[in-house]
Amino acid sequence: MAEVQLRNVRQVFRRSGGALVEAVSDVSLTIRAHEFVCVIGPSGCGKTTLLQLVAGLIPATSGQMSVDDAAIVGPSPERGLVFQRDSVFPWMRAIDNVSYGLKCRGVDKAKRLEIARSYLRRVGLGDVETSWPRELSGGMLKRVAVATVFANSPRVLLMDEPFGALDYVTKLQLHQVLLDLWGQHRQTVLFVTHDVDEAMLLADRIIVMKGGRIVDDRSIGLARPRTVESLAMPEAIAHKEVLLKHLGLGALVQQQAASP
Amino acid sequence: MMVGARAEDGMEQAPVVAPPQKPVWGAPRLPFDPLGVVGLLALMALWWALSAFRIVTPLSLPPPGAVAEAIASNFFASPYLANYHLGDGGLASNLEYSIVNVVVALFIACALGIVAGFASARFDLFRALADPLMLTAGTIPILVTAPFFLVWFGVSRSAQVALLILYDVTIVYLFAQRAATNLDSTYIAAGRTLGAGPVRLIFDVYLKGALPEVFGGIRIALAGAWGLEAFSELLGAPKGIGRVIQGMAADMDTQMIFAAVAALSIVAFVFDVAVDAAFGFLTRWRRPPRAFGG
Repeated sequence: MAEVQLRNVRQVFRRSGGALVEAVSDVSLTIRAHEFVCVIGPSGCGKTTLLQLVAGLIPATSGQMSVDDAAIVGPSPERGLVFQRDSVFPWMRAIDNVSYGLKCRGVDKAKRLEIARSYLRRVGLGDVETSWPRELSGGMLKRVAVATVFANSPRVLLMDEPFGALDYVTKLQLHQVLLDLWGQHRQTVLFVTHDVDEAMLLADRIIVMKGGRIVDDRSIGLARPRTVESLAMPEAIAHKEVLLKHLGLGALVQQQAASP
Repeated sequence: MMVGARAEDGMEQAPVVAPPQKPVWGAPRLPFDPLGVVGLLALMALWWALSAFRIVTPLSLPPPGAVAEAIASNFFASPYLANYHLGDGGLASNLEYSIVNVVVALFIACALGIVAGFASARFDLFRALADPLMLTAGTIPILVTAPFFLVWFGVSRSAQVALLILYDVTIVYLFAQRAATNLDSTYIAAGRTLGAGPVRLIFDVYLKGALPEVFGGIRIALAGAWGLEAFSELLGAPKGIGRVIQGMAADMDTQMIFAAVAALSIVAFVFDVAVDAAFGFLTRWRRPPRAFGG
């Protein structure tokens, strides 16, 4: 069980010029346990800031945040974060990266290596455990990052456009890896993306942010496992039209709607 | 077709999964630069030619053989050096005195410089206090500071070690500060969300991530420290390689001056190679993957 609650959360930054910017304004949100929530929105809408708030990496200017009624007061291994940028430590071998969170928590060496090895295998990297990150490709590094977070058995999974920089094929492969791992324990997930198709493929629920506010909140009832065909179902297309309009691509949708 | 001849056969003979063979991209890694050896040999040849053909008198430039001879016969024991109150242990004991000073000062300076450099990268207030101190310490000519150290510490090791620490710490501080400032903040955030506390963050993230740059600073500090140590001994030290050079200079014994300088150069070179190898091993995660080809 891990229910994430945000109540009237605001986050204000001061730019170097002195101007105040409200990145997140008055967001209230409950993410139920085991729910896979995607947050989409145009660039600069506050979605990454929202994720960093829940991760505890930055303090909220005002409002309350909690996981199962325990207030969020800083980063915690129970809220694992997969970063947009490369976060795999280049000075540790793949297996040491994956077992690092367990090491921090005092798990003994044999045990943590065993766990790390099993997660490396599950992300399809059983054969590179002693490799240095420098020897791995971008997609492989993302797999290491995903394995690292899962090996730490977080109750909440936070993902900040984790696959944004990857090519199409690698991205689809990693969606599969992610859904397989998630299927076992069904951690509560908050997944930030700018990719509507990615959100449709992964989420139980899609939240749209604009200007620091939540402007839409939709349940996606598509059956799992989802395929490329699921995205062509009428229900999916209806969701997608609304989502694209939110992203300012209304013209694209009107054209599609005009054709029978 | 013999197996050994495969390398010359070209692509079509290459097996699907190539077994590890000689890397073709880049030269094999040597512990030293072959061009540097060529340069050193050229310098030695020039030196030998200048003295052998009497282009320069032996008093100004003693031949290499005579210098080597002087090192050998005065290395472990030297009544000659003992006459100058430089101990009974010959060149070796004077070298040892200088080496100990350089190494001790470097260790202390690393501890201080890395801690202060990291702290300055993390805390603006500390940086505001430490930066002017460190940057002015680095600009005061040693010629000015050295007499003060002599007054404060007297004719002892402490004066030379303190002078070296002042010099080393400035360099290590600046490199550590820059390394910690430049470290990608994603690594720090990743460490924090994985459950690393402040101590682990410092040792597992900041220190390991900053190591390559800090090592660069340590090598620069070490390279400059040898000459500085010899110089600071001139202002008052019981012994040391700088004192040997000073004593010999007073008597115009160029052969022994060359012997002392050559011995110090060899020590500095060996230290640099050893330190470079150790640092290379500790940061081996940065080496590019090796490409293998047939």
